[in-house]
Amino acid sequence: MNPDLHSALLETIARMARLGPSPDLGPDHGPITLQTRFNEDLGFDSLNLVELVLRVEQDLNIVLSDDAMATVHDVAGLLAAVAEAQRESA
Amino acid sequence: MRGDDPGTELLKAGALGFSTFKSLVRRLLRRGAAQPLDLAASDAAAVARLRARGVTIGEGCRIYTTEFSTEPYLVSIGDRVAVAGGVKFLTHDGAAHLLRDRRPMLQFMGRITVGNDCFIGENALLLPGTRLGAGCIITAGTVVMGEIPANSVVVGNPGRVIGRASLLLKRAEHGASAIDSFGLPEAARRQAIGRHFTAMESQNEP
Repeated sequence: MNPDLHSALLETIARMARLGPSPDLGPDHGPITLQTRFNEDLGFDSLNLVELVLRVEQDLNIVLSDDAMATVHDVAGLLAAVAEAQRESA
Repeated sequence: MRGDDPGTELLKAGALGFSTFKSLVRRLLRRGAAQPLDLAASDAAAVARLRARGVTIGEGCRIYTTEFSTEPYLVSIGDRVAVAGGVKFLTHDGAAHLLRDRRPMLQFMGRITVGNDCFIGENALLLPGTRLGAGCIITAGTVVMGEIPANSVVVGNPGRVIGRASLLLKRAEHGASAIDSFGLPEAARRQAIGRHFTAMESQNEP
């Protein structure tokens, strides 16, 4: 994946983690890595995941299929789905 | 009347007076929870009452609110829509009251339209002029206004679209809270739910 795209995606996730689900989460939850899990590590629930998908699609100008996103639970899974979406649109 | 399912019995009792109603309730309590309520019959009766008030309602709907404001004929609901308890459909804006000293008959009105296959969660509020596209999910407590595109999840006050309903449903179908228990007799349903959470909590134990 394009490194700039990779950074943009991580920034989208981080921005949402700072805004969202837990007021205690704040900017100190630690760096976001490929292993970061949306639910266990960032406290995202299903609504937060759905919103994250929308933000990623808007920020990166891509469409992520529901089937691809149905079981994604960590950053690595999201990155793989984004890469696949980009291949399909190329 | 003996031998009817509990739901139908209660519905019929509504026309027979309070003492008969009490007698039926006592009999149902003695019968216990072995027999499920006839949800289809009670759902159909609720829809029929709302249609009689002027609400337009499609087929296959489950409507668990009666709060359709003073102009229920301004509300139109499509097919296969579920509306949870406490939901309010507001067809007028009462702020017109503030202008009635100089315009005594003023009212602000708005239609409310709900597309097919929507779900409106507990205590949501739909403001005048709300138009929901097909397949929307309105989460509990949301205040909905304006035009909402099809297949949207709407959250908060003011309600905002946070993503696709189809994705939320696909994730939920495979999530920890999914249990195949709808329609079971209540005792069996309770057992199925208990087994599900026992299994899940065992898996989560360190």
